[in-house]
Amino acid sequence: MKKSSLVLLLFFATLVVNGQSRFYTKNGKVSFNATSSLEKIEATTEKATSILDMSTGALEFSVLMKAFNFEKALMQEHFNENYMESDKYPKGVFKGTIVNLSTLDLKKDGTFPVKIKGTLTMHGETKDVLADGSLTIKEGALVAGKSDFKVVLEDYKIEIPSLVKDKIAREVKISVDANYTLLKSS
Amino acid sequence: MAAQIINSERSHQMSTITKAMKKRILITILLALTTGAGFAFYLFNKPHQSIADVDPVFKLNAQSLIGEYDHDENLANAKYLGKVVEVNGVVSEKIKDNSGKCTITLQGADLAGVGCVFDPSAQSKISGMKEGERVSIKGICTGVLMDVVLVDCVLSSKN
Repeated sequence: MKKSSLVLLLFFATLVVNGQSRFYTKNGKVSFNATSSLEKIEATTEKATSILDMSTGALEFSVLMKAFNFEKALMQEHFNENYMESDKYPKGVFKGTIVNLSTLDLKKDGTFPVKIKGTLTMHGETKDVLADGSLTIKEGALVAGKSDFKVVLEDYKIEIPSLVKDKIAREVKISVDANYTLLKSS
Repeated sequence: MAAQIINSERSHQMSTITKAMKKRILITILLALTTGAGFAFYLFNKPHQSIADVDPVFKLNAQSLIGEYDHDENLANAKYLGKVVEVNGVVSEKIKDNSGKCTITLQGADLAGVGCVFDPSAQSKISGMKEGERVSIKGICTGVLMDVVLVDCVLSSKN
């Protein structure tokens, strides 16, 4: 009896801790740039979701491929149908950790540089990713996170026909920008 | 021999035809090429078309859409992904991003809702929309993360 109530207490204690350290967004901005010398190729989605646990540094990001908005309708169609095969692989997911979180003094307000390590899954392929980013802390709470990193299309088996090979950059720059809110556990 | 004569006659005919029609053929080809190139250029630069006049493939309420995604994501994607869907629900959240674009969330269950990203041309119509209001929104379904996300949205009706 005593033991079980202790377990229960521990369980709730972790809930409280988790509840106060997990931050999320449903309106993260993710954009990518594959501009070559011949053509401007950019797209953005403002409906990326992310969860960041500030006690462990665990970070997750997800985007929907079809939610990326291009300036040109035809480019968007090609992106979804020919390159990303969005019907088959509708999501892109990053799972990783902020590796230098313990070295930061997060009680102070400010923007702190961070190193992120994890895996990115898209187009059915999963590859390791290292990225630099920043976290902004205000009054002890996480308010924003940013990161830029590059991926090589070939790594994700995204095939570019030789006819348009010169028009699309081999390396794509991905930018992530999210405003976080505290995830309240109910 | 006979065949040779016919052939030479033919080539003679050909040369007169060529002389007479060369210009016209050339002009036709040029015209076709420029029209083709023009059309290709138009297609290439074509902006997004509003779905305001497109009939939705499915009409349902926010809870049902979320429910179907909750039950079986792959099945729901097979049915809704990339399709024009009209969703009826109660506005639970309205967010304005840095560029001034509005996103509206229709209430679902718990944390999940239907997130609707509005087409720039439809922005003015939703400026007066308030939380708690019941609305019908038409958009293209892009799948589910925490919310089911619709893009290129337009307001179907207020009711």
